[in-house]
Amino acid sequence: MKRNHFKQKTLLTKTLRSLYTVPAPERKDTFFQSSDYRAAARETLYSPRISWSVFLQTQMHYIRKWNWLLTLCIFAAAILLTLHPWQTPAPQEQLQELSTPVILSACIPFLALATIAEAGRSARFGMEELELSARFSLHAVLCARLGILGVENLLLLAVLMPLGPHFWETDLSMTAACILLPYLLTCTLTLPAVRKLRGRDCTILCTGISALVSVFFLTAYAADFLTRAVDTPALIPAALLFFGVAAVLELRKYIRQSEELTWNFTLTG
Amino acid sequence: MNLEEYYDDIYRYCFFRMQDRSLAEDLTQETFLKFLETSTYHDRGKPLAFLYTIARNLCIDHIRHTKTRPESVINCDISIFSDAAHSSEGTAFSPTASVSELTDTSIVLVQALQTLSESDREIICLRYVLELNPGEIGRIMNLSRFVVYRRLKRALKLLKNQLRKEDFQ
Amino acid sequence: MELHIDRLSKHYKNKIAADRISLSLGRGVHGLLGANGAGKTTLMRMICGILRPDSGTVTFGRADVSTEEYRSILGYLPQDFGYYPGFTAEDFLMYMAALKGLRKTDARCRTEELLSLVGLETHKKQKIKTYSGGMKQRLGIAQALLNRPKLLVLDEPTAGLDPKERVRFREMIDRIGQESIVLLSTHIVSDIELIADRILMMKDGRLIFNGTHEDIGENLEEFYLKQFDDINPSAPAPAGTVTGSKIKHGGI
Repeated sequence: MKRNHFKQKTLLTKTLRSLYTVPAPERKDTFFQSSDYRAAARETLYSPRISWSVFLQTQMHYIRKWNWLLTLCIFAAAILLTLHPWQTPAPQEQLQELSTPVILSACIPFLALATIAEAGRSARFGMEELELSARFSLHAVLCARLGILGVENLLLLAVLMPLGPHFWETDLSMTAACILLPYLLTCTLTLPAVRKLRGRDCTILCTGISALVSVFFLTAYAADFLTRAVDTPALIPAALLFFGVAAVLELRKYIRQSEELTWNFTLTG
Repeated sequence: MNLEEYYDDIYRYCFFRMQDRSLAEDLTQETFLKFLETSTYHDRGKPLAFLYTIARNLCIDHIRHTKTRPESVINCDISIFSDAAHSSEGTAFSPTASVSELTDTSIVLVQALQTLSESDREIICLRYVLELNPGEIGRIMNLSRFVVYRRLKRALKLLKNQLRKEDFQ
Repeated sequence: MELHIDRLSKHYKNKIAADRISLSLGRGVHGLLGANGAGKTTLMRMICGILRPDSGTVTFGRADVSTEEYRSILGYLPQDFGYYPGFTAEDFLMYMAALKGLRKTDARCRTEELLSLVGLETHKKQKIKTYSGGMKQRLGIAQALLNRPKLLVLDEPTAGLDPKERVRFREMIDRIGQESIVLLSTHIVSDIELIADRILMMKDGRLIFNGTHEDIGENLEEFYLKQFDDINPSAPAPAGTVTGSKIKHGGI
């Protein structure tokens, strides 16, 4: 009796279902692709979101303060030295003026070093995996850090450049050789190092490179090599172009590498 | 949360109620946009019940504003439906299958359905075609679960009686 | 919505880390068992978009693993992770929250919630370098939950936890598994026994088993050992064993 009842009901419901047919919807895909829907969905469905500009602000907050301090120091040093040029006694009792731009050329490699080191903190402290899986991925973090500090660095260099012709009695070429070239050279040499090495070896190598660049410029000046290079027509602009392009290429390689985990600490598991 | 999986269900509901394909899609899309407008990220439950409620209200509002009752999809020339077309019960949630698909039994069922109230047809639709449970139906139609059970039982009984009557004729 | 993995492969110079792995995961807790070197971490990293596969796809609903949309529903706990020096637990969670795109007020809220969920609220202002292994692990679990993930991937989450912490962890994962997809890997069989709805086994980069407790029938530990010892190769393979590209279905 009950089974009959049940069969009746299933028959009934089955028939019912067959009575209610629906033509397929036509505008489903276009709706979900539409900008109206996407805009509304973005607001509600994904976690309450922060925009890129807010993200940049938060990253700025996490950049360590002494980076800004370093920039300030270099700027202050430039101003001070311009006002009170540093004179050292040379062996032959000649007062050799260590020109300001040359002193700066020795400091600027470390500015580049600081920026690149700051960007590479994720790698140094094992945060890469976590950052890679976040919504603003490691890639974004690196771009933010390099972008912020890079722009700040270039601003400093841009501010220093006009000081040459106006205060240091150096022509444009020489100023560029002392201010821009060390920066670009250091970048070109340290970026591949950060890409290929990790940990302590990397830090030591990068510091070494910056020191070498620094010393190179000092000796180049002392040996008059720098002055001769500046006098050679088009050499400095060519060098700037070459290292400029090289630095940009290296930067691109570095950032591209951050899109996936390339350093496998645990090859097991 | 991806809402796409709910589109078809809401569309079907709107189609059964409004009996018009393009209108149903318009209302479905309006439902989704309204849902996004009014819910916050923290509404973590299943969105389906909310979506249905919004769709239902939008449909009712639409009828109220346009002051037209949905016309049955089924051709009203056919005599068996002429009663329905003139009935004051309206045609919402009437069967939508094309006439050619109907068998003898189903024609009887269609007639039987027309004798139910719109509201009862809605409950039947929600339960057996859209396959919602009585609790969810209650939430959507603002009724208690027990009322839904009772009305379902009663509606089924009515339908069965109609079918049996036809068998004896 | 389900996670679909289709013929995922990854080769290194002298090793196949993942070999045409295909599976679909729905809501619930899925345990991934395998020896060290079996490819569990590689698979998990590919699921998290951290490693690019040589071939194959990973999608969640409509979103491919490489999209921001995918990462926004993902929570990941790596086997090993570091932290910026000087960070306290609170700092760490706030930093990760910013990376996950949470707004500041939401981030603060979530940080408080999660710290108490994992039992670290009393230590929240202490520096992470003072933490024990178990505490650090709990912090890792907390950060994985920040963005209320629909897909939670945990690599060896119970390593370093004491028995009491393990119980707490299991309860938490059980709750989360009711709403989201949880994939956890371990080489401790007892962990999986108690919480996993579905069991996956990997060996040498291949998925050798994908099924439930019922499919196994016997004691999980024995079954697991059998797989790796190749004892009784003539015995009938239980349902769920992956042979070639098909999975034997049992009990239908």
